[in-house]
Amino acid sequence: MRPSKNDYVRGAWAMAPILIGVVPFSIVAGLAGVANGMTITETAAFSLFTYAGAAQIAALELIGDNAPLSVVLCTGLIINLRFLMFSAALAPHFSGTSLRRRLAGAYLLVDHAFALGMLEAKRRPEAKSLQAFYLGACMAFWLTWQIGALAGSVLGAGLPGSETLEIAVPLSFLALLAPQLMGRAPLAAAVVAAATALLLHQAPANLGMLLGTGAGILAGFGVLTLNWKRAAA
Amino acid sequence: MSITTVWIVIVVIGLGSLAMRAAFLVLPTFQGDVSDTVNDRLALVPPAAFAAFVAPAFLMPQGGVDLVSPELCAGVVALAVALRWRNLAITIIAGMIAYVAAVQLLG
Repeated sequence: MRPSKNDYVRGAWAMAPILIGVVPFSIVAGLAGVANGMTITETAAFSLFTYAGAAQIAALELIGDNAPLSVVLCTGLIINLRFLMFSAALAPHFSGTSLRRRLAGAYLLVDHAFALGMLEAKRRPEAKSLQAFYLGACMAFWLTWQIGALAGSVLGAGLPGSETLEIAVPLSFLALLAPQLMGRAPLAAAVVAAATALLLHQAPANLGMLLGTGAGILAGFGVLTLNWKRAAA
Repeated sequence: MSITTVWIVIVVIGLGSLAMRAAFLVLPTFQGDVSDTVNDRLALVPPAAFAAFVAPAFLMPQGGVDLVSPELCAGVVALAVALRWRNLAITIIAGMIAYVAAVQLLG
């Protein structure tokens, strides 16, 4: 089956409600650039190359605080280490696809598109249409992010505050988490990940999130192994 | 920070992030069909990552555990709505309404 235009549009539509929270987040990222000494061009280049809000904002704040270059680089890269895990989880759905498509899928990879893609994979595992759905979601996010970040850096502090809209980012993560919780292993993974992240919330470079994710995955492995042993016995 | 340093930041974090995103997607890591064992394991990545992301955002919005915050109120409502209706837009809007209401009530 060839991927139809329809699948791209479906992906973009699925992303639409999430974009409510992405708009203020991207504006903050653009604002952080100019507020911490980058020019508008440099901020735009950072958004294009790095394209990851949490890492961009953390690195920019460290630059503003005159942190050593090595600290800025390590923080940005450690925050984005989660992409390694996301890349691995998506890879089976992209096996045997053209290099161009895999590169696009990789460059455009962000948390929300990853979660939408993995949920869609449970519903419609057919590879080509899943890839189109995922890429459609990715493109909607990318366009919103780049425009929002540019607006943030050009208009600067002139934009109104939007705390109410910002809550939409964690809300959308929660909405994407809920349907993933079916079964003992994913539930154990989520509980252990949440507890670990809470305990380590003061760790630098979002390490709490990264280590929490790692601990959760290991807990899930444990439950899966027990299930398999029970099934084999 | 000098212009050179700024561009080192842009290029190193940018290329590093791309390399991490591409690591498994671009290199031919998985060939053909992936076994159920591997699939079940990979399926643990989203619940773990998203739980680790949302737990501090809702349970410690100001950096310490707070059980009566507008954020937690929004989170509880959103979770209930998400489990009941499984619709992204409805969940986010319900959570935002709960947040605004809780800010008014608790404010």
